[in-house]
Amino acid sequence: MPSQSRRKESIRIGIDVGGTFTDVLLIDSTGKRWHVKVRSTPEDSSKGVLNGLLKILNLAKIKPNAVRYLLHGTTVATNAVLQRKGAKISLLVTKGFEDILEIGRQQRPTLYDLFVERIPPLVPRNRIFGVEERIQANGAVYTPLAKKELTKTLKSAVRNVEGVAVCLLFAYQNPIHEQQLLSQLQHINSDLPVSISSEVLPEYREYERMSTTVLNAYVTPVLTRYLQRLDEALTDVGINTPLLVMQSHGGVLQSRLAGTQAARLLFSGLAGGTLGGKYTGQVMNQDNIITFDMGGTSTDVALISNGKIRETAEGQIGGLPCRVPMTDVETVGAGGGSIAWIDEGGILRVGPHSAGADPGPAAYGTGGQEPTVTDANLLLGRLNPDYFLGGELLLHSELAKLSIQELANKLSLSPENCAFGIVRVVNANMERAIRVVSIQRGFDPRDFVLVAFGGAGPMHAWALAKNLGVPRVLVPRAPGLHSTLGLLATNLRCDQSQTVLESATSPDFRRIQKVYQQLETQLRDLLRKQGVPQKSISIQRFTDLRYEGQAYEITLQVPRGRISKAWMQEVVKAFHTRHEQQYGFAATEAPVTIVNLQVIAFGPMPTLKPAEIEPQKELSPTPQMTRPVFFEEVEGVIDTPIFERTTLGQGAVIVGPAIIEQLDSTTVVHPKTRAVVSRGGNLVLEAIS
Amino acid sequence: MKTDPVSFEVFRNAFISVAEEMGAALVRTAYSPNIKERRDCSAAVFDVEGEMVSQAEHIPVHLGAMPESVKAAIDVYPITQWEKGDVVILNDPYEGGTHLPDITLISPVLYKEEVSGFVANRAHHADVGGSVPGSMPGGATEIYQEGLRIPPTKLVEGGKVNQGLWRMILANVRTPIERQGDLRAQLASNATGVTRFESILRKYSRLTIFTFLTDLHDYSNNRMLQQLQQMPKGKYTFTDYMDNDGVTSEPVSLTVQVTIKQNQIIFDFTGSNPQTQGNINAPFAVTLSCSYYVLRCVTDPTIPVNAGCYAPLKVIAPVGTVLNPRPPAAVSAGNVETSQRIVDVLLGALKEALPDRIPAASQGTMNNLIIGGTIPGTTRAFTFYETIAGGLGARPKSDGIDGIHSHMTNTANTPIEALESAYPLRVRCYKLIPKSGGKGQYRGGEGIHREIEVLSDQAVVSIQSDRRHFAPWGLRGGQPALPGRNRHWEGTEWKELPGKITFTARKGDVISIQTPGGGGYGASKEKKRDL
Repeated sequence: MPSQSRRKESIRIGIDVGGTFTDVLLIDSTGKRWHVKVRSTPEDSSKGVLNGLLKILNLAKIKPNAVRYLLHGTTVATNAVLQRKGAKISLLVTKGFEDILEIGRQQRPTLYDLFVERIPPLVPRNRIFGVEERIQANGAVYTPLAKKELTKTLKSAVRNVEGVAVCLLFAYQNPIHEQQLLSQLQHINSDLPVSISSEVLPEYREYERMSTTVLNAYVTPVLTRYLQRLDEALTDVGINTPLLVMQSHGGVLQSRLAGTQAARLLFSGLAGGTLGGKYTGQVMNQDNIITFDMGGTSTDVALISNGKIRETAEGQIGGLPCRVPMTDVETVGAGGGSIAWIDEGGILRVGPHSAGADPGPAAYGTGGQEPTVTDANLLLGRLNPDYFLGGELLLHSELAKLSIQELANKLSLSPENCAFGIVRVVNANMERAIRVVSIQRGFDPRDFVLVAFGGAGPMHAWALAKNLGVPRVLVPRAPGLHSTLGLLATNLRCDQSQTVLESATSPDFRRIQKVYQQLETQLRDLLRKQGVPQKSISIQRFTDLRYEGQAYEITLQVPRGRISKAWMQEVVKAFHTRHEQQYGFAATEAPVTIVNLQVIAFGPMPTLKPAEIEPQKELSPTPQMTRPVFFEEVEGVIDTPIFERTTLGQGAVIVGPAIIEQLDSTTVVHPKTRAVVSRGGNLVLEAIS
Repeated sequence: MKTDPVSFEVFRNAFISVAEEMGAALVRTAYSPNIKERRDCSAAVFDVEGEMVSQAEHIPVHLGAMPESVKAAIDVYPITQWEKGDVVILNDPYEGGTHLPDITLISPVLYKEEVSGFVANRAHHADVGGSVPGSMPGGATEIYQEGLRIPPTKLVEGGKVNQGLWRMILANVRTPIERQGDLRAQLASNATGVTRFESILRKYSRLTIFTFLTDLHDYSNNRMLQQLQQMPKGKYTFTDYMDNDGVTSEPVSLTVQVTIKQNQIIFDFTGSNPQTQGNINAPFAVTLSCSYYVLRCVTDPTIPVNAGCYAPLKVIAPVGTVLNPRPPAAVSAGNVETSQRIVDVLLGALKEALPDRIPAASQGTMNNLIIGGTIPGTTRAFTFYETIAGGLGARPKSDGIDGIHSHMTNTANTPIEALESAYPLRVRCYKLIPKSGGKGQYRGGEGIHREIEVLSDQAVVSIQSDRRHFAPWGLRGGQPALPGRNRHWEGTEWKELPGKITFTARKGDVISIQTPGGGGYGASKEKKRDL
């Protein structure tokens, strides 16, 4: 059937596994969407994934073999680290340096706590083995890998473990000893997964490289098992397209390759939201975006500049450094469930403790007594007690009021002012997170739009935007599903970097050329293995540069031409310009160092067809009802029209004060602002001048 | 309190952001690894009287010292003499500084042409001249040997840099490009703070903010008083010793009497050693920092740091003693070595008052190592500076921690791969020393063994360390830790080195530093009985 084959061309399914729910979103070639929400199955999340998948195929009446792209964001690796349920592994290091993993950077996590504890390393001391060898800073072998005793050491290292990590000093300069160890280990036990630092992260700084390599080895067995189980189950139900798994930076990778790149998936679950924000921005012709994802317990904030998601290699998971590229997301413990309390000095504080889903906010009526942000929003009239999570959960206004009343009495405030106080304080906490990703990184929030999503994001977004000088807020059509949408709007991506530490004044051009070519060949192979045709692979080159003696690098995208003096001059000039932009000065007289070379290879997926909603029929939309809502602009309550989001067509304009409700979120339109519905059903909030 | 409890929290967040954004700008734009990678710097916001409002500090030794700097600057330039765009620089330990490598920059914040507050930041510069690279010469007897001394002086006037002063500073240091980069970063950091503070004043009005600042002061003050009221009243004394001053071999005594009253706590260091010939003298600002640190550790560290928080604390250190020296005493190790012992004596004194909150002694030194020389094949000078972690003292209910920075410092190490790429040095080993922590029901943390080989033709090595003789003490029957040890491989044999020394090493020589462990807690027998 021609229609079937046309549909097959672009049926896309995204599956995002959260703590409580697994969201599944299907989009067909016409841009039509289906969505199901199923309970997550934390003991084996592949069950929930499969449930959701079958449910949506049934709903959309699509055969499993018609699915073209199946994309998945997973927290299996993340949870293995956070819950310390990864594999039992051993670690091989240069002799004399066995304690690097334990010592870390010598720092204690808090300054004024005499009872501070260090985060225990993932490998205990009795499973760390020194091998006699040494590579020098320039890559030359100083002490060859000693053969004596080596077999004995390696045999001890592989005993009773599920994997081995290898990290030798200066292996990023010369991997020969790590490769020798790898082949000997494979000789002893070919089934044992081995992670070597020169493959996982060929970059300098031994502790961070070691930590990343250890993380990789620690989660590899867990992740491989999970993905194998899932792959088999998918084949069983007739899916014949490979599963694509989200990496920490927002590009995807085929599941059968993901197991060995485990460290790159540690933040898989975080990337979807940012990608969703980027996609919404693209559709709305915005390329400077701050994403603001406010959920029940925490808020994630990220920044997209010139259409590029800001990435960082300074990530940490459970306090352990992981230096692979990830979306630069700042998380604060502020969400709908954050608890309001009064500190010893009589000041109102909100969070970081959260009532979570259990016992939940007081209004849930499930035993929570303490007032939360959700209770405050309910009391202010911003939330509808009968239409929370689409009416699945009835909120008890009187319980919310009771909990806040108590706090208000202690503060000598009216319940309303106390509730509004809670909102102001939680906003102040979230504002700090936005300042971290923008101002502390050298960006001015006034040049950005805020894309607000998550259940609570659209309720708080305008007040935040106003404080930060952000002129516009976008609320996507389905704020609660935004992370899943993000999964569908991505590309296959592989990347690798290599530390070179060359002087830009007199670099070894041939070496740079060679390293770039090697990285490119490696990545092309990896993409071809995933079925990307040679001609559609796109390659980008990057260089990390810094002034000599500095320790922070600036990453620049650089031209792909021949590496020559002219190329170098162009790159150095661009570096000075960027340094000036980012840090306020350029030390044009100072020598520049090329620290890392990096290549990113993309295998593009067809562009997602943007959704389009029906035009608005009547001149002005009709509210479902009105209810009293507190607005700070009038320092009191206004009888406010309430709109149902799905009844709004494209072009609809809602003038504040107003509340727009939908299944998965609530948008607050403040006085002197308006909300305009775009073609794709996104809301644009702006001030009325 | 005049500010409502909601606005208070909103403003408090705003002022934390100012200090944090200044700190972030400094770390981001700094030139040298010492600031960027090791974060030996801090930033703070002050009210118009020079009282601290908020601070982003990365190491505790900067904690109390910053307010002294701002006050010294106001002493030299009364409030009417500050204009928009001014920046005052200082590093003189006898006028607001701590030791010469710590350079502080102070800028006024104006609202409608009226000075309404200050912002300041401090960074440890890897070299400020003087007789040896790194500006911490062992055996120095006068501050003049320790580098360039800058009393509070306007480096920038109305936005214009005083080029003469700028060039004079750079002409007196060994690595001028680095210094210039770091000073520029310090300027950028203050500029960030000024802009932010001014925008807060514009947004909420000067009156509202001044009212809030008074309230913030009272808030911290009240919370600190609540904490003091829970402490057992009384007088507690303790004495501890530093091995020597690096010039003579005499032990140097530090003694304190702590008096806890209902609304006041007094740390009286009367009776401590007279100021020494060697460089271990701690300027009063350092003594204050250590006192503030201990007070925060034994009370609730979530109390916002500002002048109100410290108002109930009185610190007495007679002029002319090792904890409040007269010029021109040498002071470079006061900040980095004596500071650790000040903490030890204070905790020692408090162990009877707060038995469940005081750990055994930690390593009690920072093991400062400085190696300077010329990069082979060039005429370029290099200066490498690091501090090496050691053992943390065992606690009433847990072991100490191995190989970690304690008390007055928390700077990151320099990665071996960064060190060897940048300097003609090779690290031969870097590991924990088994059993170096004091035994006890809970064992003390282990020290670190680090060996560095010199690869340049020759290098000047300075070591400033302590607890080589007097070991970190155990508590309640816990054993003392293994003290530290410094050695020099001269090509044929290991030579023992004193704790504080400057010497010349040749190519192939190795410097070996073994840092002290932490003391043990509780008699070992009890553990067996528990098992």
